[in-house]
Amino acid sequence: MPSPTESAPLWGRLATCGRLAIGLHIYTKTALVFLLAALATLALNQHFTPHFPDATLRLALSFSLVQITATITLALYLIAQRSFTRFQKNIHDQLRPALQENITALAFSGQAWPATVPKQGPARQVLEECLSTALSGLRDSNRDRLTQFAWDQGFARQWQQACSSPSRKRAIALLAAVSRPETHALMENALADPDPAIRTEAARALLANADPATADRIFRAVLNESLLIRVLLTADLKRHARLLLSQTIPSVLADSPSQQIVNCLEILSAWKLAIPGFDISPLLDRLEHLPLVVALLPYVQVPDTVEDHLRSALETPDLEVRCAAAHAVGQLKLNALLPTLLPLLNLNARLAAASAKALAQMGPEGERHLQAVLASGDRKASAAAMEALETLAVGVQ
Amino acid sequence: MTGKRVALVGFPPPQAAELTQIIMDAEGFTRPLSPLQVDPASDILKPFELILLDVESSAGTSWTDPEKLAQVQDRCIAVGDVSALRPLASSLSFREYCPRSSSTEELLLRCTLALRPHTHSPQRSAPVGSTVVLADDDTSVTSIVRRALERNGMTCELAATGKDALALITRLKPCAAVLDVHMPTIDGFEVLSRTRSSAELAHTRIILLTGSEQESDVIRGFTLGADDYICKPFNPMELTIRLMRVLGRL
Repeated sequence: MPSPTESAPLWGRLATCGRLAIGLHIYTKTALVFLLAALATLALNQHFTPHFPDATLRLALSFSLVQITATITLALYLIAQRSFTRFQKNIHDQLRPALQENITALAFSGQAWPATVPKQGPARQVLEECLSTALSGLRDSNRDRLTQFAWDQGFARQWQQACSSPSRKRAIALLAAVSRPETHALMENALADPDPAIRTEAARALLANADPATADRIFRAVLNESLLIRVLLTADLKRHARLLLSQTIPSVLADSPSQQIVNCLEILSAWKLAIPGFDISPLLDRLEHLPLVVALLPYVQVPDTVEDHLRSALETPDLEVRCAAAHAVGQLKLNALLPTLLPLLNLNARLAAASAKALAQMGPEGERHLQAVLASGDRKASAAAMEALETLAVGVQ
Repeated sequence: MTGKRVALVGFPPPQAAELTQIIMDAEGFTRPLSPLQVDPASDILKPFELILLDVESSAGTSWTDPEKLAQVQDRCIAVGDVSALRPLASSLSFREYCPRSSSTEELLLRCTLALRPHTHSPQRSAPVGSTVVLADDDTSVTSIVRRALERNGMTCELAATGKDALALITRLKPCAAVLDVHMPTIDGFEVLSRTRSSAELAHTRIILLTGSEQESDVIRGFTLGADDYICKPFNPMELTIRLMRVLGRL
């Protein structure tokens, strides 16, 4: 029988059933409490009949008694729970130093475990906690020793069998730290997990040592993920940028749905990576991708026609395209486009800010124009120019 | 910083190609050259602002003449296994040390930091004593670091929160403190900033423990007056090398 994390789609269905069951359980419990309270009130009401002839008084008294009893019971339950947690914490605190010392000796000098490794109970829990923090904080030979220990003592197997969403996420992170070939298949399956946090963790773990085929597969999968996940994984994907740029990305850009192309271009822009030999010209004709494509122009091998493309982009009615073009002109320091850039300072605030920033990037000539704008008296343009000059003064680009 | 030239000395061709790609992808560097064998006094190395030396290569092991090395050591980063860097760090003084297992981001950050001008502060007194304050809420890691430092003759005091760390630093006036950036109550930056604002603690050298690849944290740390940083996950031996280096005891 496959372990829970190994069969992600099955887990998805089970998790949904679980969530429904928990919801049902909570509603049932609440209804049961109300029912019990009502029954108790009625029983007390019956009991008080000979003593209190007034029905209203009897009912009020019964209801109050039930409420008081319920409050006391709840308070006792909470006190007991808190005491148990404190008791458990005390036991853990007592066990921790010795176990931590053993882990230190093992990680630092490979010293064998001095006694029997706890197999269950609180000591096992504390050992797992210490082991997992040490695994995520150390590297090289120290981590290798702990990894071997985690494997030999069945912790890795225990993590593979994690059930709930948070523990599965933690398990994936720890198995990534253990990094054994035996856990690779599990990581691959976790890429299809219904929980996005687990998918992200698995993708990150796999990308750390991914072969070309895995990097390709993960990149394509990431294109269908939410913006947050794409942002989280952008830096990890960048490690494989050369490989992805040679094969995966051209194929994605040539033959993918529009949204995937947009996501792919966003990742490329976020990498801020020089992409020599990357032919971007076919994309310049596709209007829906134009802002992102224009933003990428400073990073690709600039074709001879780039000035023409940027000039027409600066004159297009689309605000996004114009802003992206202004940024690109600034980054490429295309002084020839100054006459086209300057009128944008007098248009809307966003465009004015983008073109002022571009002028600031263009060196002394751009700076002269910004000074002139400051003196012009146009409030919107002056504000943008002032901000760009301040940015320039503190050296932030 | 634009167009800085980097020489890769002693790296085998596949690794040199990989490093070339990494450096070319970063902003501010030109295409590095990778001579396999070159003498440190050679004219070939003169135009390079930065030299990355594989200390485990035959070129690296031959760079032992202190006189010749003096011409390049202030712009040379030693790259190698931590166990190889440790003895080297005690005999030679390179600008930076970078373990081979470091991430690409860390290597680039070390390169960028090595290109910054030296920031000597002549008023700063030499560290005294052998007490080090280790501040991290993760006790599994501090106990390992403690063992590593105690083997090198240091006395360690542990703090689990920023507030405790600050109290210990103020009371003990240690020669160094290793501060985790993210701690309960007061974070590592705040402890660093308060330590640096006290004239009595000017001699205390501070190393920051940051999450991996948090470049912004590193820059902020140096701005506040940190002497070095180390990224988690880390090798305790590397931390020992960096600590001994900032204490001038290598």
